[in-house]
Amino acid sequence: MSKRQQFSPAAANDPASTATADERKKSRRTQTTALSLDHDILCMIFAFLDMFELVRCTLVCKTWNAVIESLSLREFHRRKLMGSSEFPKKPLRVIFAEMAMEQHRLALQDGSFHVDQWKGHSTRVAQCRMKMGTVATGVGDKVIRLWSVNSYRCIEEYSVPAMLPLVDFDFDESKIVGLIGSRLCIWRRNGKRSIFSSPEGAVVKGSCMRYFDPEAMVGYDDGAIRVFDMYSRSCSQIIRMHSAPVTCLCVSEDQLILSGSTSGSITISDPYSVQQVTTLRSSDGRGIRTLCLNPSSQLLFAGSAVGYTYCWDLRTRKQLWGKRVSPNVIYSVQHMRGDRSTLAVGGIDGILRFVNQNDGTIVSSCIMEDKLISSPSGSFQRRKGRRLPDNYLNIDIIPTSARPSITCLAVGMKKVVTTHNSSDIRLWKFT
Amino acid sequence: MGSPLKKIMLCSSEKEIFSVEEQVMVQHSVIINNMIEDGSYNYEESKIPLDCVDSKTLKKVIDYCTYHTHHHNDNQEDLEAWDAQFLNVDSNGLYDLLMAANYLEIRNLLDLIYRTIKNMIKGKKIDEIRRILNIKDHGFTPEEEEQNRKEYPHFY
Repeated sequence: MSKRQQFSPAAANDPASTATADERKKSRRTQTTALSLDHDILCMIFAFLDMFELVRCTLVCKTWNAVIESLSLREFHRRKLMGSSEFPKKPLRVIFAEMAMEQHRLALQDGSFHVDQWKGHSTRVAQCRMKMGTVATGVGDKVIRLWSVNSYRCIEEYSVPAMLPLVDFDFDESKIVGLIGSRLCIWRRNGKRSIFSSPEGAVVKGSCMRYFDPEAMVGYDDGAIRVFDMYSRSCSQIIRMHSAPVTCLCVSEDQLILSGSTSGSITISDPYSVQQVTTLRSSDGRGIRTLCLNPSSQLLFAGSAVGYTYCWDLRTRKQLWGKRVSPNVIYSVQHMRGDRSTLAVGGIDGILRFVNQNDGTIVSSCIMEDKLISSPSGSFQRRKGRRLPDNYLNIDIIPTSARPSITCLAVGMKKVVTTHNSSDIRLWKFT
Repeated sequence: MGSPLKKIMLCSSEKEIFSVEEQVMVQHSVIINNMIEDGSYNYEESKIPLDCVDSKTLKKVIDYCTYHTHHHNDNQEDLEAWDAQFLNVDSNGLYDLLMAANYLEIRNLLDLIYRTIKNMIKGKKIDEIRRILNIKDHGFTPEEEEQNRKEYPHFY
């Protein structure tokens, strides 16, 4: 009751609290809807929501937008969340997004963390993706599984056709797109599966795949990338990008295709330019294993077979930095969507590293402790995480059981999911 | 405070009269409590006109107050189960209840409804929120809406 008193404007404005019964007659009301709820009632509802929900709610309708942006609520949240007196004149969602990114950065860099591990696949699993509270894992056995990030329960499972190995995959709300052997396969999340026929002349193995509706791009061992239209199921383009096998690729929002090869070259294909393929980095024999593009900063990150991480600015096509962050192969570099500060790097040495996206310095190196702290439900094991001191060089004295190779990682808000080519999936939670 | 068995009359927007134990309403509604305390309610003649509350909603409000008056010693779980069942109404019904609870200042019912609406919003995509809360006209121009969808695709 007393908690409620602080929202007294709602009561003060209510005619019922001051007027007598007879004065309270009102004209006959029309039907109540979400839009006709008054300002104070909406403020009350919004006071129950956290900042992420509020940001989303500003986009639900104009009335809500006005209320959430209104001073009273801003004041309320300024006091509740920020404790600062300065409130910049930016839309609330921009402020909250910035705050969220900052929290994410601080959590990865300095926060305490634990690692939850659960048996996700029967034999082994090498790849993972994470989107909107869902983790997808696969490559290694015959299924792709989707997991809830909160409960680690398997929420969906898709089987890979026999005889064709799953090589790569990605997913969204409506479908999962996989590369099996040299072919594409689409699983509709309502259950239907469709496999594309082999692209003509493609006897070589596919090695990586990304999609950007309506097109899917597949990299092959012959150095070419084939572009498929996912709806007509036809190959619309073959682009020769490398003389060596393609190892990884990514696609920008304006449909640029970036790819890396075993020989170390990185090329860009721009379907709208005269010179269709340009080179960002030429071969030097040290293979590129992974690429990751940050659309919000237009920075491209690459991980190499000898432990280097590189960064280019796609607008100027200049290399910004290149640093050896690991003594051995880097398999995966990723960042959270929209985050321009921190890059997570994982590879053969099994240490989860966080690197500053802007200059390549290592901000933290993390491993999982061996000792179990609890297994709350029995379905997963929780262990403490430990940060290694700066410039820690004696990696070899850490038993490899405590640091299995990170074959793939994906980053979400204050969390990272990793796979290790074993049957286990790990979720690193930072606070 | 009147004796527990005293009745008061509430009149809905359709002019339907509801007779309720005084104690039930006094315990829950700040407004009615004030009216009884300051003597502005006359037991022989007065009926409290609630012009912005229709009969269906008023009946539910009275059900809520009655149940919570007589079952306040029940264990928390049973009460919560009853509340959940009680609020199993469509979004328009929920708004009507919210307006009524706000008007009568029934604080625990308000709190319950706020929490229910919060749970309807929490973790949902914008399109889902619009559907659940029956928001048909979002008021954004097509350009604004397109821009928002482009900028925050994962919210929709």
